[in-house]
Amino acid sequence: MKSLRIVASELWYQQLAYWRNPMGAFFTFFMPVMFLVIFASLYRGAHYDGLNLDQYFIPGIMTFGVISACYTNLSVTLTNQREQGILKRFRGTPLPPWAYMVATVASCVIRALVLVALTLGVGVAFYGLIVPAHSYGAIAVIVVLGAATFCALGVAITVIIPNADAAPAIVNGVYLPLMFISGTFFPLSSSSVLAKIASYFPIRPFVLASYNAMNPQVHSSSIHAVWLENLAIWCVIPLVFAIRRFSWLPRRRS
Amino acid sequence: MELAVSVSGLRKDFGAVKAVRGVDLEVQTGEVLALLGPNGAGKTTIVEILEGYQTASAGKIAVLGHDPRHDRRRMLERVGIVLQETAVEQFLTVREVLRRRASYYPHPRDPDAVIDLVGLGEKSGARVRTLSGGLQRRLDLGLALIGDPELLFLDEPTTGFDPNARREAWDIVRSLTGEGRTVLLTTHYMDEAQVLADRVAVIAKGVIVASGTPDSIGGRDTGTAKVRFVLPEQAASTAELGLADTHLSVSPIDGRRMIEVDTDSPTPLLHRLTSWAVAHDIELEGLEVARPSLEDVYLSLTAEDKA
Ligand SMILES: Nc1ncnc2c1ncn2[C@@H]1O[C@H](COP(=O)(O)OP(=O)(O)OP(=O)(O)O)[C@@H](O)[C@H]1O
Ligand SMILES: [Mg+2]
Repeated sequence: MKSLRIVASELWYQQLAYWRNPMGAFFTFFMPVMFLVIFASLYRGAHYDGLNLDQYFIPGIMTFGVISACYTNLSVTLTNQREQGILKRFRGTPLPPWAYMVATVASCVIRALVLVALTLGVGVAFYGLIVPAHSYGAIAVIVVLGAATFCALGVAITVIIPNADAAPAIVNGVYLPLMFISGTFFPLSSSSVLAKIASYFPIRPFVLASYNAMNPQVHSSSIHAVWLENLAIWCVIPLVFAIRRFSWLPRRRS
Repeated sequence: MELAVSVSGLRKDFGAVKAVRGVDLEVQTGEVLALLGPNGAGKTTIVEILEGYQTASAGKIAVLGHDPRHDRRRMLERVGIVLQETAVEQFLTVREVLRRRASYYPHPRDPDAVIDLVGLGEKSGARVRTLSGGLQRRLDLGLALIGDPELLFLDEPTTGFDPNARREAWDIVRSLTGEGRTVLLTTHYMDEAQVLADRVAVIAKGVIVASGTPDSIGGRDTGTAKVRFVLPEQAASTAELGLADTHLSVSPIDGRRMIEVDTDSPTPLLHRLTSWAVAHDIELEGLEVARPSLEDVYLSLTAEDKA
């Protein structure tokens, strides 16, 4: 009970601080929507798999939103806070470290959920996206698993980021190439070499599972277990790594 | 009296760098201890080991009876920490930051009272990012006080303060010790140590080279005193004043000669000097007797170390 109250209070202050930093909020929420609008106009009238192409890439944009909020945002924020000494100061108070971490991660997950609602909402309202009622449960499972995976990766990658300046370069350097070869914004044949490489990493399974979940032509049971397994593995291993190696203190500039 | 902090045989190596090389330290409950020492002497390292941020390479440590590494959580409920570097969430207001921090402690102080105490009353609704460096540092001190700590670690707490703010901070620290709280602070300001500390310890290259009260450290109270005066025109030589046998230096100032005598027994010397002056009905210009200042002692202690 007391732990819950601490986490809730931390979450409140983190949300407060977040929404008062307009630049951060702007990029997180505006970028996916902007991508959605741009791709929708580029792909106007295009088809894939017997469906409007929108039906493919809007779930892709949704995954992009979740990954931005969970992985990109979380890792850059944590690195900045670590290097500024803010994390160090929290460790000088009786606040349990896990409570701070849970609140920080929850903050990102909330943003991710808002982004999911935003991208799917814009898709349905303006671009004829179909989100079948029978897919809600599957979407929820995939989004939760995806958010967990990319939060774990977001925390884990801070371990290899030496300083705040390097954070965006390292975080995006890992993420952007994978995002493209995973067919996030456009369909990619599963027999292509790039797609095969991408299938070992967590983005492609996330994209495919999201697309299949919303595909009005197939039933959600067509979500392959191997995709979820992949996400689960990419959640657990970084999580263990993060728990063992996460640093609350600034790296010594040497 | 009970010990608030007790350290013996403390060592800390960072690879080849031996930052702390065998330090013994005791801080009594209700006492203010100031750690002085040149940059890189090891002050922050010692303090951060006591705060449980770093693990000692060797040594026995107790902070309010806790092991700072293994009993950290309970220790942190009873101590307040000001780190050498300020870092506060930029987008929250002063009051929000203090309220948030207060919620971590079992018996916090009233945030508004703390805001007034550190002189941020007018800024309580301002976002931290709009505060000047010195004001953020005051907030830092407020954050360290919010949990109503029994023991305060202050690592260069008044760096960046204007002279008034520094005096206000001293008043705060003194009011705390009046209530029986203990303070361990580091500082580069000798006046701060002189005013605040019950005891000072001078650290150089990871070892304590001297410790004692600010007035007696390094033999300040018993050591060589300096007697200065301008040699009167009526006196042909210093011998005439009965000073021939003592260590003295003469420096020309404005065409006159300033005499400076180092002496272990200033009383008889002054007696000879003033008797002569009174007999000749002369006012001794610029006459002063000075014990070495804390800074003089500090400089000689830390200079020896370099040699
Ligand atoms: N994490 C670290 N890794 C390597 N060396 C370190 C580390 N922390 C401190 N040192 C070294 O230990 C020595 C003592 O540093 P410390 O910060 O304790 O000095 P200080 O007395 O607080 O100095 P200042 O007055 O400048 O704050 C220095 O030589 C410093 O370079
Ligand atoms: Mg220091």
